[in-house]
Order: sequence, then C-alpha cells, then structure tokens
Amino acid sequence: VVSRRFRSISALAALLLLAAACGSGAADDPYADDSIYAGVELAVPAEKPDFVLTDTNGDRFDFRAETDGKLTLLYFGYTFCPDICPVHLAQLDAVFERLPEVARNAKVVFVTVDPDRDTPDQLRSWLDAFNRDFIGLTGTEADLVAAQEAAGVPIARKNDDGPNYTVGHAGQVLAYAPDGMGYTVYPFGTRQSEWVQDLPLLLELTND
Amino acid sequence: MTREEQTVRRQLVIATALVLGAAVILGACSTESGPDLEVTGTSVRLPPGPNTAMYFTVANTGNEGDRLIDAACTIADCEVHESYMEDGLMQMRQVEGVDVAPGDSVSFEPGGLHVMLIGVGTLELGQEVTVELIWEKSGTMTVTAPVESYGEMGG
Repeated sequence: VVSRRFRSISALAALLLLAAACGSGAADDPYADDSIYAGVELAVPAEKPDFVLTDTNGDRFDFRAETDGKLTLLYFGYTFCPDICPVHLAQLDAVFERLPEVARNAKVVFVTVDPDRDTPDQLRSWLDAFNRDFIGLTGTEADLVAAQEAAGVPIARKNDDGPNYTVGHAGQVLAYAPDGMGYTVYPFGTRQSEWVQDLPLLLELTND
Repeated sequence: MTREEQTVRRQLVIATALVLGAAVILGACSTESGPDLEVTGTSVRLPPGPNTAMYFTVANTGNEGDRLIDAACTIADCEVHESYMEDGLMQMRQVEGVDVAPGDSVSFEPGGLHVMLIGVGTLELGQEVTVELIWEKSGTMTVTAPVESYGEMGG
C-alpha cells in the first residue's frame, strides 16, 4: 500500500514538474498569444531600425527619416532569388491593389543582401516588375550587415563562389506601424488574406 | 491413338496451357509494374529577374517508386532546387533527387521544391515553356507550363 501511494505521489510530482517546465517554456516564447494579428506578433514591440543605405537613384536613404510616419514593410533579399523574394513582393503588390488606402500610406523597402550582382539598375528593373513604388536599397557589405543587425534579423550568407551562387537570407517581412514600432513579422507562407487583415490595423497605430 | 500417344498428347496440352498461362501472367506484370507518373498544375512564374521557378505536382499511381534526378530545358539552365530554413535563414540548394513513392504525390511549390530556371531571359504571360523532367526509372518526361505571374500563395 505504501509503495503504491509512493508511486502515485511520484507520478503527481512528475506531472507537476512537467507542468512547471512547460510553463517556463511558454514564458520564453518571444511571440505573444491571443494576437489580433494574423502575422506573428512580437511579445515586445521592436523599434524601427536606424540605418543609412543608398537607393536605386544613387541617393542617400536614411531609413528612419525617409519612412517616418509611414506603414513600413522591410525585407532583405536578392534579385537572383527565384522562389521566396518574388513571392513576397508579388503578394504585397496584390494586397496594395486591394487596399488603396494602405498603399497610399505605406512604403515597401527591399534591401539587397547581394550587392555584387544587384546593381542599382538591376534592383530597379526587378522591383519595377512588381511595383514601381517599391524602394530598393544597397550599400557596402559592412553597411548591409549593419542594417540587418539593426533590424534584428540573422545576417545573410553567400553560399558558394560559382556564378550562380545562392544567398541565405532572412525570409520574413518586418512591419513597422506609422508610430515607428514593429509589432509583427510575416514569415514566408503568409497569405494575402493575412496581409489584408493586418495592414489596416497597423495603419491605425500612429503617434497622433 | 494408343494409350501412350494419348498420355503424350495430354502432357503437351498441359505444357502449352502452362506456358500460355505464364505468358499471360508475365504480360500482366509488365504492364502493371513500375512507376506511373502524372504531372499536373505546371506553372512557370513570370521572371522579374534572370531566374525563375517552375512549380507542379507529381502523382505516382504505379506500384513502384521513382526518383526525379534532373530537369532540362532549352530556354535556360534547369536545376531541381529546394528552399529551406536553416539557422533562421531562408536557404536554397540543388537537390540530388526527389523520391515519389508509389501511391504518393509530391508538390513542387513556393517555399519548397521547384525547378529553377537560371538565366531565363524574357518570357511573356501565357507563353508555354517546355521542360524535361528526368526520372531514374521513367526516363525523360516532357511537360509544358504556362507562364504565370508570381503572387498568390492561396487565400
């Protein structure tokens, strides 16, 4: 009898331990629960990153200043990318067509992680295939790394040296509301309906 | 006809029947065994840059698996690629082969497997692109894919 009771107490203790472990695991989860957003909501909003790069006209582009007060969608990619980058951009263009109010008050900023092949002209013609208002930025290797660090994404990595090398890069679009804060990110696989749900909500978050 | 002749005759009849039966069974085997692949939903995306991707679904209704080992086309360099996530980075690599088990179907779709068309040049919406899918057992299979815009992931 004693040993049976001991066994059931042990089992209970094990369950409690497990529950405690799960509880602490949930606390480490960087993503908030019960989100009103379809995108991935950050538990702690992120400040809009501060970096300066060069746009496709060759002009200096101060990311914070140039996107001030705008709903801003920031993405790091490269134009030789056939699968992930074009899908994100085509989706954003399609969503902007459905939401003209959002389109008027939003900026899409595409930062290349492949400055050797993505010349300003190459960037411009590639972005124009989606939307002429999308902004393309490039810079020195060091400036591009600094921009990625500021944005808190993993740093892109060139994979090999052949002419058709690929570049590993962050796959998520970072969104910043007009108030200058990032509340959500959008991993690859985000659907148009999810963008349509979130962008009007984010547009309302202003400092006014 | 002697009894001996009748026996020989009967044996001949049985042997013939056996041979014919075996042939029928073997014949049945040769038409029903092996992979039986069907490719649907082909789509080449309108290239915004030098490269693009072809997506499709392949179903194997045969009773043997097959393996896609390469792709070829005249308008670009074709390679079988996959996008995948590693250390928080979206990566892409050439794959050695893609197995399609009997009764199974595999989707080549954005964010996963695709045939990458490298250095594709100018294409137009609605144009048909011909691509050869090269299989370990089924050999070369020629498919055509319409050029479509990037865009919807669905929904």
